[in-house]
Amino acid sequence: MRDDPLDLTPLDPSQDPERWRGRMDAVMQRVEPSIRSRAAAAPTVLELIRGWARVAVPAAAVTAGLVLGISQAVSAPKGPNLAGTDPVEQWLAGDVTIPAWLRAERPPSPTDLLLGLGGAR
Amino acid sequence: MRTAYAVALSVLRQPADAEDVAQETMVTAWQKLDQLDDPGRFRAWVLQIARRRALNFRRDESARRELPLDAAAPVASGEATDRETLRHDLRARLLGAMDGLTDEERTVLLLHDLDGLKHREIAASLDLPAGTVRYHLFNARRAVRARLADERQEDDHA
Repeated sequence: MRDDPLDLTPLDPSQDPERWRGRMDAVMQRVEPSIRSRAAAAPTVLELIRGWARVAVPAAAVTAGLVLGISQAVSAPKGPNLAGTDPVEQWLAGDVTIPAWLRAERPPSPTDLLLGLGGAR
Repeated sequence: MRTAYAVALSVLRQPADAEDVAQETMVTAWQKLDQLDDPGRFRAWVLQIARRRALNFRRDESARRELPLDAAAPVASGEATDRETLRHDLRARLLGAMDGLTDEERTVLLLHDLDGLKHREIAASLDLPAGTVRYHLFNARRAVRARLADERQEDDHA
């Protein structure tokens, strides 16, 4: 069974090019005002960039602030001044008085224990 | 615009009316472009406008007109007249042969064989499965060929 395309050329409106062009021109004439008004309403490139900048600049400032803050916190020097009241931190900071009984390498006497519990300083 | 013309012709079966409708369709499409949600559906959207306009046109015209414009032979001179008369005759034969087709078959046939759209483009535009488009196209071609062959036989006998 044949299934080639039918030759519908006689129905093709562009076979009469002048007439068809006239139709096209008529369409263009009628839509021209709406094209022009749409073009006038469309934002220019500068307006688009300005619009983006209105959002992008504050966002960039906030991001930069965050990054700066984090990087400063991470790279800040650690030293004795950071030692708080925690005994381990104090010891690490070299801020602990080693008791005499420990330096002498002898067991603590009751007095040493009392002094230790009550605070040597 | 040819696509809009093909759809309008499938509904109206009068080339001059179909040209009017295609022209109005394109103007409407341009003016209502803001209402098109998906630019990828532009062709389907235009076809919908063309179809709606053609149906309205047919409804209005059938109440008004008795003799179709295209039924009147063109008036010209010399060689141009012969060419135009021949074209007019071929056109009338083709349109007559399409009379027995359904609207869908006629639309598919005109979009494919006149406007040159592919099966999948027609399927997307008419919201039909590609297989259905192929089926309609096959049936439409077969029916038109059979009708034209019958006419030729009748002419030969006359």
